Amino acid sequence: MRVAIAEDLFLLRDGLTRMLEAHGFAITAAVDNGDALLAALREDPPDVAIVDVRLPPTFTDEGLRAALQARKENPGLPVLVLSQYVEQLYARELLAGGSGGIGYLLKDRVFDSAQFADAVRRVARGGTAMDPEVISRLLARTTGDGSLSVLSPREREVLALMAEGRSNAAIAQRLVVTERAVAKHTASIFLKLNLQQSDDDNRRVLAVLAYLGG
Amino acid sequence: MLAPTGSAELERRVEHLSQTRTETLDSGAAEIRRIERDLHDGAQARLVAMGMTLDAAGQLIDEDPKAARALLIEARDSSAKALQELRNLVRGIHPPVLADRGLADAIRALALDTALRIHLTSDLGQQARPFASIESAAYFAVNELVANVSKHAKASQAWIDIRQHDGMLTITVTDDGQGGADPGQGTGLQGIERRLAAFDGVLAVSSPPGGPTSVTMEIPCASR
Repeated sequence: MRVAIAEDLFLLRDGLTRMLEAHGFAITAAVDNGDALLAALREDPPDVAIVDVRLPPTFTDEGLRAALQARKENPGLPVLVLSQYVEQLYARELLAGGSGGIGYLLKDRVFDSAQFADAVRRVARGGTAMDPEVISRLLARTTGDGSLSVLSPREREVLALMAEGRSNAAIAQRLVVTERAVAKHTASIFLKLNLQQSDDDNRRVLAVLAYLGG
Repeated sequence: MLAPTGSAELERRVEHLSQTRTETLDSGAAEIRRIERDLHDGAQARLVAMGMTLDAAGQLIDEDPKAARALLIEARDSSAKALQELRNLVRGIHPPVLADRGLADAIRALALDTALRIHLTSDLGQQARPFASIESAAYFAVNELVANVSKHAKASQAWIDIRQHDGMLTITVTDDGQGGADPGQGTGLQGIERRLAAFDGVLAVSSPPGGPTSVTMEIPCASR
């Protein structure tokens, strides 16, 4: 799998490169600003781009804007955005296109390199990887207005993991239950929230995120 | 020669300026003390603990790799907690979206993190962003007003309107709660009023019993 990286801090860029190489990824470009990223993506499109939100020259949300621009030029290009903080506003902007291949994670998530590599692969395949902190804040808001009170505590747990973009198999592993049990929970969640059930993992995630974001 | 009314006006102005200057410096100093304490007790302490844990892991690594591994995981978790604390601290000093995008998007982000249903309208025209200090004061004032609404007003919805015209930043926060907010009671509204005064900003509250409550802030703003 081929990855392009945009991260302005040398230590992090270098660390990411080495970590991803250790997990079997090939690095097509490792750059330190948004324009260089866009050029690299045009020249040699990777399977996924990993982009830091804050990049020079403005050191604001340059990376996020480059990511959105890259998806405009190359619809469906998988992009994983990394940041020191996560904002629901930015998560919405990234998800607004309604297509998959989007990740938005705290930089801390690289501490667990196996899980991080898994998230990179998931995004590269058109899936979703939303940070647990984004999801917990989304859930807190939706719980506040009472619309999730129809769900059992276990179903809420499953909903959160689903919203992060995890498959039934991954959810089963995390909760130490069988995949069948997870499938039962997800069916019940979709019924209770009146959502269209889908066998496609990615459409399922987007439906859940749309529900929570609405 | 100044007319008597002119000189009385000037005297009042000087008094106001020296009063608000003292209060601003005091609250700035208190804020820096709070940040120092948070860093000292939070991230700094965690980094010290992490250093010790890593050292212990280094000593154990040959004779007891399993225990060393457990210590390494502990150090990793400490670093995640330190990061979390630093993030919260940064949010309190200068929220990232405010730095990235300015007042309207920062308040939009704030609204998304609030359980209240918030309707935001903004008209900042084509004018340049206000000075960072004014943006920041306005943001934290809105932040506090929204927190007040969530805590006290028994409201389900709020409306925030932001506009910048002719060198004046005007922000109105209205809720559908029970009303009866008294600027004379409690320090929340007074605190906001004091902080806005440093910019010659003013705050007006209308909150009849039964609601609705509407708070309007006006801050003269030179652009950056």
